[in-house]
Amino acid sequence: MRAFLLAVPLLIFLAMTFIVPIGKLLIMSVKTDEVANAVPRAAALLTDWSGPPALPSRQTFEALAADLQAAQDGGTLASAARRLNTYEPGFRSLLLKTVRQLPIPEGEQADEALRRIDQRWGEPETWRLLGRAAHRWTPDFLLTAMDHRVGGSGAIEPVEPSQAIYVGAFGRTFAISASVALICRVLGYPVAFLLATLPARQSNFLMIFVIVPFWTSLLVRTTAWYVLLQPNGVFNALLIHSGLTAAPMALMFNRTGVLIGMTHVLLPFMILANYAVMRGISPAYQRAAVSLGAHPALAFLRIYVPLTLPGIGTGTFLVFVLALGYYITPALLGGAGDEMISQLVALQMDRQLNWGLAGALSVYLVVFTLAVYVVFNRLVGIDRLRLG
Amino acid sequence: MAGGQASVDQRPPASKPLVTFSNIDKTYDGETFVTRNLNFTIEEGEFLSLLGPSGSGKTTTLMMLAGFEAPSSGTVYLGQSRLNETPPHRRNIGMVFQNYALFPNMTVAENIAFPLSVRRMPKPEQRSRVERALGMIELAHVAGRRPAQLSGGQQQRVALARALVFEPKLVLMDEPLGALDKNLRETMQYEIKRIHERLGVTVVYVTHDQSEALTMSDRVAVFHHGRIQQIATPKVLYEDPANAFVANFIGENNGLPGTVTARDARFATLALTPELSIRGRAGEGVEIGTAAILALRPENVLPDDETGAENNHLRGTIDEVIYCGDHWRLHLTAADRAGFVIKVPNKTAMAPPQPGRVATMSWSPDDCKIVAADGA
Ligand SMILES: Nc1ncnc2c1ncn2[C@@H]1O[C@H](COP(=O)(O)OP(=O)(O)OP(=O)(O)O)[C@@H](O)[C@H]1O
Ligand SMILES: [Mg+2]
Repeated sequence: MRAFLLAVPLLIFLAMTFIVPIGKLLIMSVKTDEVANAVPRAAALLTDWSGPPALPSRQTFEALAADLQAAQDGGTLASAARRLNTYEPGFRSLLLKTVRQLPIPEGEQADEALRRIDQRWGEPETWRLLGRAAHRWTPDFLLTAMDHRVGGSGAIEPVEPSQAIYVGAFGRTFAISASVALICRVLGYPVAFLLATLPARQSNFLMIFVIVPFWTSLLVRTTAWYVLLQPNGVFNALLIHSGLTAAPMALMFNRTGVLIGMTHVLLPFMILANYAVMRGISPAYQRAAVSLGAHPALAFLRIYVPLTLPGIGTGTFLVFVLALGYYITPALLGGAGDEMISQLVALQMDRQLNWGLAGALSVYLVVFTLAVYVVFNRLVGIDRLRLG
Repeated sequence: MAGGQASVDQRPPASKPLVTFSNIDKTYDGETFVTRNLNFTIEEGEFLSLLGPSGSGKTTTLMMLAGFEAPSSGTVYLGQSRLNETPPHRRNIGMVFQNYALFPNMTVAENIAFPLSVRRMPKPEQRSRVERALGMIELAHVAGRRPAQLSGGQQQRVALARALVFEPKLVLMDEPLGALDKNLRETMQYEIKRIHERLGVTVVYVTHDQSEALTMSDRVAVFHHGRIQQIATPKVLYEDPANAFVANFIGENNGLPGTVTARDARFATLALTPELSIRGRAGEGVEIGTAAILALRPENVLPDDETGAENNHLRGTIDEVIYCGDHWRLHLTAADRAGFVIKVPNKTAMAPPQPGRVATMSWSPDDCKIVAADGA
C-alpha cells in the first residue's frame, strides 16, 4: 500500500501527460461544435427539416441570417467557416460573402434575400451539408482518415481517388516501419552477439559506439545524415572518389534516406534488446551442443538462435512501434512519396488547423499500435520486454 | 611424483590406453601455467576422477580432452592417433556439465534425441534409442516436459542420458552433482556408478568432493597447482600418499613436520624435536637432512599402549573428547603442537577418555609414512 502511494506522483503525471491527451484526441476526432455554436438557432431548425429535395422552412433562413450576424459579432464565425470549408471547398467564401450583405433589407423575405446574395442558398445540398456540419458529434473525421465519406444519399462511400491519401499513408507508414525493423534486426543481431560474447574490455569499448548515438539528440543525428547524404556530401564524395559510381547517387529526399536515417536512430533499441537476452544465455548450451556432435554453425542455429527469439521479438516490436510514430527523420530525409502518418497529423494540426482529422488519424495510429502490441504479447509475451 | 617426471613426447605404449596425455602444458596468458607437464593415461572402461582444490586445473584438463581448449604444448592421443587438431564436435566424447546445460527450448525427449539427430540417424531408430535411454534413467514419464519442469536430480539424469545415448566410448563429467543436495548426491553417485558398470563406458569425472572421488573411482588423479600430484587407486591414495599435499588433502592426517635424520631402503626417521623421532615408510624424495612431514591417519593410532619396541610412541595431553557413536575422537597436544587427532573405536563397556589426561599413543612404522614437505 505504501509502495502504491510512492507511485502516485508518477500515476498522476502519466494521467496528465498520456491518458488525458489521448482521451482528448479521441473526443476531438468525433466532436465538432464550431458550426453548432455559431448558428445555434438554424442548427436546431435544421434537425426538423425533412431533407432534399425540399428546401428548409423560411424560419430556417431567417434564423441563419440572424445567427450569422450574431456569430460575426461574437467571433465564432471564422472557425465555423473553416470547418464548413473542409466539407465543401468554397463554403467559407459563401458564408463570408453572405454575412457581408446582411442584415436583410426591411420588407424582403429572408429566403429570397439569401438566394439573391448567393444562389447556392437555393440548393438543398448546401443546406444538407450545413445540417451535417451542425451536428455536435460526427463520424466524418474517422471516415475521412480512412478515405471514406458520407455521400449525398447518406450512404458511406469512398472519396474520389485524387483525395484518397490517408489509407496509402498508413500503408506506407507500416511498410517503412517494417523495413526499418527488418534492417535493424539484420544489422543489430550480430552486433548484439559480439557485445554479449566478446571479453569484457572489448565489449565495453564496442558498447560505447552503441550507447553514445543513443544519448545524442534525434534531431542532431538526423541533421548529421542530412549533411552526409547530400548529392555533394561526404557519402557521395567517397563513392565517387572510390570509383564506385560516376555521378552522385540520390541518397536523400527518397526512401533510401528515410531508411538510413531511421535505421541509425532505432538500431540501439534492437541491439540492446537482443543483448539483454543474449547476455543471459550460458555459453554452456553452445558447448553442450558441440560436444554432442553438432557443428558449431548448426549448434548456433538450432540452440542459440531459438534461445534469442525473445530478444529478436522484443527488439523488432520496439523498433516497429517507435518507427510508426516517426516524424522528424522522414520529414528531413524523405521525399514527396515518403510521408508518414505523423507528418500528416502535424500538417493537419499546424497548417490546416483541422484538429478533428488530426485526432482521427492519431486514433487510428494508436489503435494499430495497440493491435501490434496484442499480437506481440501473444507471440512473445510482454513480460519478456527489457533493455540492458 | 607422477607429475614430476619429464619425458620426451612419444607415442603411447602398446598397452592401448584409450586416452594418453603427453607433456601437456596449458597457459591462458603466456605466463602462468594452468596445467603443467601432464602425463597420464586413461584406460578403456575405467572410472577416473580428477580431484583437487578450486583452480587446480581440473576443468581445464577436461576441456582439453573435450576439445574446447587447446593445449599450449604437448599431445593428446585417442588410442594411437593424435587428437589435438580434431574439432570438438568430431571427437565423439559425451559430456555432462555442472549445470546440466539442457536445452531449455526443447523437451526432454528432444534433448536426448539431439545428438542422434545431428548424426542424421533415421527417425524410427532415434525414437527407440531415446526410449531406451529414458528407460535407463527411469524417466519415461517426463519425456514431453521441458527441462525447467524437472527437479535437479531429474535434469541431471536427462543430461546423463543425453551424453550416453550416442554411445560414446568416453564420457566427461564436470562436477555433475555439484548443484544437488547431499541425499540426492548419494543416490546419483550410485546411479552413475551403476550406468558406468552396465555400459562399460570410460568415465572421466571432475569433482572436488574427495569422498565422492574415493567411493566411485577406479583411479583418482589428485591435482594441485596444475600438476598431477598422484594418480592411483583410492586405496593407494589414502594409505600410501605420494607427498604432503596428497596426505593432507585426502582424508584426515596428523601432518607433524620434522627433519629426516635417517633412511634406508624402506624406512626413514623423522625428528619432530631433537629428542623425539618417528619411524615410518619412506616416501619418494625423502633424503637425510630435508624437511618432511608425517602422514598418519587418526584411526591407525592406539591410545594408552606402550608395548612393542619397534613401534612409534608419542605422549600427548588430551584436550578434547568428542563422542561420535561408533568411535571417540580425541584432540591432543603432542610434540608441542595442538591438533593431533586420533579415533578410538567405541565399546559399550569402555570408560570414556578424560580430557586433561596424558596418553601414550603408539603405532607401527608400517602404518605411517614420511613424505617430502610441500615444495610448492
Ligand atoms: N578462460 C580462461 N582464461 C584465463 N584463465 C582461466 C580461464 N579458465 C580458467 N582459468 C584459470 O585457470 C585456472 C584453473 O582453472 P580450472 O577451471 O581448470 O580450475 P578447476 O580445477 O576446474 O577449479 P574448480 O574446482 O573451481 O572448478 C584458474 O586459476 C583459472 O582462473
Ligand atoms: Mg572446474
